[in-house]
Amino acid sequence: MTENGGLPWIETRSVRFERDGQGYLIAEWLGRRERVTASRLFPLTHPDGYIAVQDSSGRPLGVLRSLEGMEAGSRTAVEREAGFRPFLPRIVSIRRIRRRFGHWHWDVLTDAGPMRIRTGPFYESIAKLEGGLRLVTDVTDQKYGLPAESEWDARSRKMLAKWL
Amino acid sequence: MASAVRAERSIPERETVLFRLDTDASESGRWESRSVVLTPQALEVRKSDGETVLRLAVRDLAGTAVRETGGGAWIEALTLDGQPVRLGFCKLSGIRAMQAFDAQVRAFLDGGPPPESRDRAEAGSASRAEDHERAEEPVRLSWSDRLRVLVHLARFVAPYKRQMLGLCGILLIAAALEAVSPYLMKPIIDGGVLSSSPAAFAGLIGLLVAAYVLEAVFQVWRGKLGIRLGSLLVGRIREDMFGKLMDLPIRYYERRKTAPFISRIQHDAEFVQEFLALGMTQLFAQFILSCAVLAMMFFLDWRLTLFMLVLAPVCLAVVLALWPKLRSLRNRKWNAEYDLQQYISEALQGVRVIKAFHRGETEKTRFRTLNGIAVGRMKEQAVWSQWMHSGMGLALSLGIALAWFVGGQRVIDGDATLGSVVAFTAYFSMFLGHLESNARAMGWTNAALAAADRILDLLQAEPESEEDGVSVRLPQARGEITVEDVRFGYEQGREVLRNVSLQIRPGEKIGIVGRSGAGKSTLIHLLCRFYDPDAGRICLDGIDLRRLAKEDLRRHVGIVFQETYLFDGTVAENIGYGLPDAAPERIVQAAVQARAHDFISRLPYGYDTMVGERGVQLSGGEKQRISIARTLLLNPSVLILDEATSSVDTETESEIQEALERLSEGRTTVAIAHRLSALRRVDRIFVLDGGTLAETGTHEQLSGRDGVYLRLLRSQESGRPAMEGAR
Repeated sequence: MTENGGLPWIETRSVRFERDGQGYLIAEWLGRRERVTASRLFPLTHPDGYIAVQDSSGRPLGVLRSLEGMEAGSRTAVEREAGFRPFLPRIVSIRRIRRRFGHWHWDVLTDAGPMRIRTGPFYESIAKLEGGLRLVTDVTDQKYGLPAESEWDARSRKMLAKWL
Repeated sequence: MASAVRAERSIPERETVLFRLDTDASESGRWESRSVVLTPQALEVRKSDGETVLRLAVRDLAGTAVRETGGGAWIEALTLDGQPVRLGFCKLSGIRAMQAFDAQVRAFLDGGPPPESRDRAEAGSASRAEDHERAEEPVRLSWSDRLRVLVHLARFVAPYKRQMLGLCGILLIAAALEAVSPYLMKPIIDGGVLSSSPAAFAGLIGLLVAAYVLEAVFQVWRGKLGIRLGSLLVGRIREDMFGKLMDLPIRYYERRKTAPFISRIQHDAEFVQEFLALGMTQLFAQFILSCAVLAMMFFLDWRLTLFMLVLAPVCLAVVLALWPKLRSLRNRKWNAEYDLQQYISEALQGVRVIKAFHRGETEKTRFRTLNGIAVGRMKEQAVWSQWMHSGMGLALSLGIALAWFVGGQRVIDGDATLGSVVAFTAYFSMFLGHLESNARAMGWTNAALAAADRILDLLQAEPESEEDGVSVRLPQARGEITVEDVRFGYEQGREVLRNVSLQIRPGEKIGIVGRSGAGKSTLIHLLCRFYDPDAGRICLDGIDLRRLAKEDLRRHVGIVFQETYLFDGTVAENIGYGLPDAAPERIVQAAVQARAHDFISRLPYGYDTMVGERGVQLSGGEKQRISIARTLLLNPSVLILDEATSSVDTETESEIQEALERLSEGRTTVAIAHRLSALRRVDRIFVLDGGTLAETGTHEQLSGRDGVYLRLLRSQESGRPAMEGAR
């Protein structure tokens, strides 16, 4: 790990990750081997980088700036763990949106698989962020990332153009 | 980890399943539907086909735990040797079920009865599409649903049904007059002009003029009635909407911007009012008139009518194809205006910050972008409307030309009289005119229905409600508070309070302390019933707050907030806010007790000085003392002080502290204070840590114990801020 202005960055090449039999993430670095958790610090804007690593008691150990250059097995293990912290599915394409008086029913394909979402009116459920990204919140507070308009496929564009 | 066994395939033939939890992902994060099952012998993880993949013997289990990740949670089993074993993952929609399962397993292992579930029942909104059993099918809107919405809208009209019937009657008479006048063309031409009969001609022209005059009179009458009914309706709709806004729980406002409600109350109400007062009656009248006109056309020349009607399906197809487009354009325009409105509101609220950080130009650019989108959408809709309007006009003219062409041929052939064809084309142009205005009304009806949708969305929101719909009155309160096993989170998957239980005796002075985010203010919010617990209950004198009549709760529980808010009005009005008919003596007395009288009497107009946004500027301490007087006037049995002195200087704090001590005499008092020194004289202190009750005792007892309180005390003495910003 390297200290930079008080923030310990973890060198990608200095650490190895794997999963144990119980599904937990194990980190191995500097001769240490322990159960850790990994969470994304920018799950919407930089979902593939800035991954915070904590020990099992929640004490911060450092931050992985990027997973580039990490050995494939390690990368898969840490990506899968961080994908649940937080769990913020990214909408890849929209198959259908139907409006049923007060509720919008979405059939979407996300990076966590196909899902059905129920939201309130668009003006209350979708927040636009800098850079064109949008955050969709469903009626149970579950949040979903919606990429910028330039990344939508033709079908999604057609669906969203009706409302957005 | 000897107790964790990855089991071989085994499906028990007969077994007793005590509790079961469905999960969305496996322990390794693979998306697959599984279930965690507790039987009297073991805790098992099973695949959807029943295959057991993990088995933990109950004798080896210490408990289970829910680990929130943000957007979901893992459920873990804890073995006796202290090792956690991951069982599965649930998204937010399943987290309540997971917490309930966790509580059930722990109760089972402790040998007690399963806990009574008071959890908020919230249906999940998202589900994996391939999981057919649990997938939530989009709710299909049946005709009965549509009827329900229309019935709901019609409720607004119900009190004015006499006026509505009058309006319909006038519209029918006007329609009949309108239908009669073209027919007069036939006798005027055939019997008057072509027969060279001046007397008959003059009489028929007189009849035509009379019909036109009557038509005009009825139009004015209709307009007058429509305006009157419309004003009554818009007032009623706005009253209902604002009334609803006042009844909604605080949770409703948390994820919503408040500025757009102004637009909803003002503009949406107007749209719906127009639709109800004029649109519905006009559509009804137009339908009747169209039928009458069609009947007259058949009467005049049925062959020509049938020929012209062949074009009707084409018109209908065009209208149906354009309907969704028009609706979409309206929605897009409304959404862009919503964003703009929201942005303006935020920018104005944060204008000091914008100036302090010199971001005026950036904000102007952001406004320009949003305004550009809104203007673009407006233009888009206007262009489409223009095309529609012109297209309709052209279609109408071509239709009339066609009628003249076909009708003229029939006159030439001797199959019809000129008068019949003139009257027919007049009726036909009237018929097409109705079609055109109906097409225009389509856009207008769309806007009204979209507005109605937004209004109903608000009116159908769940208001603050008493449990089981039964409210219990409590005329006098002793001030005993019981908090039983309370769990609460502002959003799903992020608990702020966990299993908090405490009891406060009548008249007791209680201090609540804890680090920032420990849950102090949250507990206070629950005591005031700004929110309801997700699980567990809070009682005042043994009555669950959810069942206690709202007016009694507000009367018996008084609160002094950290942030004071004074309404636009006089000082006296602000003090008397909770008791509007309080005599001036009581207001002055409350102000004296709150140590506010001195500065109030020095204000230019004393108690009648205007305060709030448009009034005099008061200091933080002065505002706070007015708010203390406001609470004191209510004479509540329970007094809640939410960091009431945190926004004032030390000198003012001691004055306010004095006022608060006077205020708390003889009442149950629960206080959060950012300075621990302010709590030295309370009877007991509750120390919250990480959402749980960590310690209880007097200042002396807690200071002598090596715990959270002592650490807080030390950090405060050393000058490090440890108590601020708690929610």
